Amino acid sequence: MSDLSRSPDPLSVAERSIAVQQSEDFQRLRRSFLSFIVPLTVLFLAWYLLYVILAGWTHEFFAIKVFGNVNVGLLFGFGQVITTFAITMFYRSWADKRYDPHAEAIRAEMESGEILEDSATPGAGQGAADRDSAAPERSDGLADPGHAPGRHRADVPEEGDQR
Amino acid sequence: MSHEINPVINMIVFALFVAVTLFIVFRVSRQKASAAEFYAGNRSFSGPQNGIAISGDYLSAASFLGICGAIAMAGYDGFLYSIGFLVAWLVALLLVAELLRNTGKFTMADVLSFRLNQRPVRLAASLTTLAVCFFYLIAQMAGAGGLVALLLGLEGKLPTALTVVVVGLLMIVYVIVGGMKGTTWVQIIKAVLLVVGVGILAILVLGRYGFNFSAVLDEAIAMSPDGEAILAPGLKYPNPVDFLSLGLALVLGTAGLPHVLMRFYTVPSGKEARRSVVWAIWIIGIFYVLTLILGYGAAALVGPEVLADPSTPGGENAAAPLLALAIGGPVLMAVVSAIAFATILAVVAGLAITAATSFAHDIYASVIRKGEVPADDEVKIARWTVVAIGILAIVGGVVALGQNVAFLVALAFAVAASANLPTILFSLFWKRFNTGGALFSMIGGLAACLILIVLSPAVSGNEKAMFPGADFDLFPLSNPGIVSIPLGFLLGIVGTFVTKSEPDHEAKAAEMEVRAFTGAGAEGASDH
Repeated sequence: MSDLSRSPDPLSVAERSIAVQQSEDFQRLRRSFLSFIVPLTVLFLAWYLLYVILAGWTHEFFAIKVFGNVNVGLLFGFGQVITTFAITMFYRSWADKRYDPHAEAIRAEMESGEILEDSATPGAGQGAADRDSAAPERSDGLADPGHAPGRHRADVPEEGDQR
Repeated sequence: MSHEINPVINMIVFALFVAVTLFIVFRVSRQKASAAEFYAGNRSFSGPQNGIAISGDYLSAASFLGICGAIAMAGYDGFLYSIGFLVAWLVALLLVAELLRNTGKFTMADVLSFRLNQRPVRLAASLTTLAVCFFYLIAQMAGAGGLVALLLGLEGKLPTALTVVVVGLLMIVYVIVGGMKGTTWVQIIKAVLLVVGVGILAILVLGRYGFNFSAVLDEAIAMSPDGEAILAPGLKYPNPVDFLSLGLALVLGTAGLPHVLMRFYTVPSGKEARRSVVWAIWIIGIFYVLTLILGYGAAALVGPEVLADPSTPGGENAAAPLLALAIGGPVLMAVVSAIAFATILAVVAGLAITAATSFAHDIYASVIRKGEVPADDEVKIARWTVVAIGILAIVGGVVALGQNVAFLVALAFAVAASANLPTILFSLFWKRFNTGGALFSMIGGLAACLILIVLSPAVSGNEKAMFPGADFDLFPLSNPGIVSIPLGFLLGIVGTFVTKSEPDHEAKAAEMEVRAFTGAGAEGASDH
């Protein structure tokens, strides 16, 4: 009767967290985030440093006029503004379309309090969320302290949580 | 062109702004505000609203008056400042805003203490937060107080000091009465006024020259004693290493400014935090492009010689108001001056609530009372802290009057970049990072900034320094960033390796990572 002997209590937050963190699904989410963010960050920081270095060390280059009084320096400056806007919108559309749905599924799995044994397979998060239709929409699943003795508080500890 | 400043019209427009904002602050206020309400406006602001408020919080008098003046006087180098201020937002957007929103509650220390030993970490984070807020606050109070006094036609030490007192008192009232909600609305109103005002001014300037920016530049070149040199870098920052150091502090400091970080908690979710930053980037970017037009416009229509003249009230900082006077007469000038005043008030209010939250939530509730404190008491302490900070800011502002304190803003950015950003990034992205690393990085980064600035030419060794008579400028740069920022990151790594982690480190790190990336368990909006 292994089915009945299974505890109805959700796993502790610590156990759940580790299970989710190690799941293939979460690892894919994390990888997709980092492989989007890291190159973009390196790119814009390098582009900005190039601008600062050119502005500092090559005054004559920045003073070359391109049209009217508008010179290389002003165009470089506008270039920084435009790339900032472009990266902003690029990230926004990626995050809205690609990242959010994936993160949302894992979040639902985490908050439903029910990690399936097969959560290591992709899509398990969706399954867990579907099965537990009573899964609260947001943090309440974690904020409910009734179950799981010895669990860690989900919210940032306000009590004198000595560690 | 008339240089006549009409203090009566200025005063009326100022009074109008104060009346409207006070009315709104009292309307949104509640006697018994909960912690989430007082610190974070119940997290009920939408992304766009918060984005506008972030611009209102961020675009200080230094950005508006300071950058217009710097461009009018030194041309291109003023623009370099704006670019740093803008690009910095990508760090906040890509690396910090959403993850911080998902893991924290009210302060930066919330994020760090999620998985680190909370009392020492909160204490250290509070220290750096208070340091940044204090430097920024004094710079705003001193610079702004002087300027507002001059725009009102008040001369002499007493009226200037009185203006600082009034700014301080208004700040206290806004924050105590309105909490985060009131502060946010003041910032929203200010941001709208600022961007609309700057936009109209820019259109009027361009209109004068047949909407030909190159013609504005022609006139600016003709008016400047430096001629064409104002179109290229080098007039304000002759030392490129110094500028590189400043540039690093600007681009990495923004995402570590505590009053900016705190604004991310006023929205209901990580997604809304992302939307806030997107809105803020657009507003801030457009604003800085407009200030380029205003700056060169002021060079063309007011002229660097007038601005450099010691008899000009406000000097370089008066470039934008004087441009308004030249182009639209005393009424437009009154409006622009009132916008400058609104800018100061909104920024100091944002700093005050951040400092108060940090003290009440991190030091009082968690460190002194060890977490055993009713939420009502915490808010009460926060309100009293606002009074204390207000008094401190008034006294500091009055003492700093007439001193050259412009370096304080750059110092605030340097501390944010050296002491705050490394710890935030490490605790979000590096699993092994521990309490020792956080303490090393925060205390070391803060100490490095303070020591280097004291030894810098901004404090002693030349006639422009804070203490022109003294001579202990051992560090050659006026911004410590290039040394202190790498040091902050390095200390975070070293501290992590030389100290032990807590026994539940792994579980906490897992919980934090899942929460940061997915928002599971994050604090949502609350209704009251």
